[in-house]
Amino acid sequence: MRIGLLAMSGVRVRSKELVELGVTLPGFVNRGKVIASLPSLGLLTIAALTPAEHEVTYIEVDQPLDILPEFDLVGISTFTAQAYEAYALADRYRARGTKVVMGGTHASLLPHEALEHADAVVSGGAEDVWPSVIEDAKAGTLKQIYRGTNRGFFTERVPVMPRFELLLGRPYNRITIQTSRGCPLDCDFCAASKIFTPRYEQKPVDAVRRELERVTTLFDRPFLEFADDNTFVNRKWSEDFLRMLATFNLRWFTETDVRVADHPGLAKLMYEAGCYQVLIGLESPRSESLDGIDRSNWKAKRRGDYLRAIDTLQSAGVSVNGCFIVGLDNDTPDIFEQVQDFVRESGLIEVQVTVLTPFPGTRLYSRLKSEGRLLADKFWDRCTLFDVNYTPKHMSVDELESGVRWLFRELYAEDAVTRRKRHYVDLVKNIDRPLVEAL
Amino acid sequence: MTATATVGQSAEDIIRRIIADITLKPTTSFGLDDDLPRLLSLDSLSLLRIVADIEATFNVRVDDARFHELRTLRAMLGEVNRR
Repeated sequence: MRIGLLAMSGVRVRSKELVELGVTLPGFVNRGKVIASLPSLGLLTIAALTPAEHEVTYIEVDQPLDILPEFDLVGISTFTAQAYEAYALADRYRARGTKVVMGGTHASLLPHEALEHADAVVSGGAEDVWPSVIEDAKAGTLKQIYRGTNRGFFTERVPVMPRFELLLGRPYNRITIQTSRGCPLDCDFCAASKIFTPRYEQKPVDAVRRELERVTTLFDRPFLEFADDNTFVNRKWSEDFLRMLATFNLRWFTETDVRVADHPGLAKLMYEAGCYQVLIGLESPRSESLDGIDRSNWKAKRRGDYLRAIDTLQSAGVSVNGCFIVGLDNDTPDIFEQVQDFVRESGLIEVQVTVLTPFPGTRLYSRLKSEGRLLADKFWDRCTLFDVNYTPKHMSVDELESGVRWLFRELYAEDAVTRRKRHYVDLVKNIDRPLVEAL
Repeated sequence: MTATATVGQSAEDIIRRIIADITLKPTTSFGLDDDLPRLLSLDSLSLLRIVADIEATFNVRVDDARFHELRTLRAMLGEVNRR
């Protein structure tokens, strides 16, 4: 069979005012652009699970396709903000008689909705079920829903080597590698891999090494983005991983939480291993706003460590991209100034602010729905992280929207960005970088 | 700092080495007027690291307002020669 694996990419903010702001303050959508241009590791993994007898083509779709490439089977991976575009694409393929299988975050969360546009849906990790999907498609006996695995990705199975070679010849700023799945935290709003994996799982360091060897064979000194929700949870694994990674002499980015700074030696080792930046979900500078956002109240308990953690990492040369969510239930209209004050006080090199977003399938979505606070039942194309889709608890929708715009203007104003750049230059130039054992 | 200035090396040679160290590309992979972010897929943090190394190596301070102008080897050289 000729199999087309189609990754939906690119997210467009819906709010007209924010779009206009983005034109003048492009900094605030930079991270979004980076994410949108990352290759789909999920589909590269699917490709690797596909028997060699089939011809696999990988395509990224960021605009509606004028001409549909011919395939016998199409696999579409999507996320919530592009669900409608993915459905439209699926409908076009099915109208011409091509079988369509959908997967990815959104289809996994709402398989029955996706089935209105697809012949089959893979819900969850595809590791165990994709070969069956291919067999059934070949035999003309596709089932409607294939329930994928949700645990033991790296412990009960040999990690699958994604087919990175399918990316050759395309301009990527970053190549993605996954080192873990899930997250030990359990945040109300999280629609990431945590939803599919009740356990936090880390890939054996040797398996990551093999992927690095493969990637560096294919690409000249790629900049890596680890496609993890939380990389540095386990100190022993982190040390082993960083020592191995340092041997590749690459630059990289990842996401983690503040515990990474609990041991200063780890920050130094990260720098030595090529870490350019870590993204940390600080979520809020207000303890009251953090209260209750995760089941064990971990983030509220760690609020007192925020400044120290940022300083530890940045003093070691690892810049921190601090992420904040505004519109949390305990936020009041002064939250915007508080975020701005925290960014200044902390010396964060980069900052990302998003609006609380009730992705379908999350506890947040269920709660807001039961409280009658969702502005619409379905608003998937507005799940951009910048558009408001619910009634905040202690402010109006308008106050939240205008507060976000004010905060963006303040944080991404040229003088604010330049101040952060100068801080970074001053930090980095004072760091000695001998390649020594850091721990 | 990554690069170490050596007696006899020109400022251009040293900056080339700094760029090569940060970008992990050969010193010969870019010309004086090449747009480095475009040619080497250089992100803003990498550019700032180059600035940091230039400041530390040559004991200069780049005007903050000029950060965004430092996209070519020639522009970086200009900052050093301005001292």
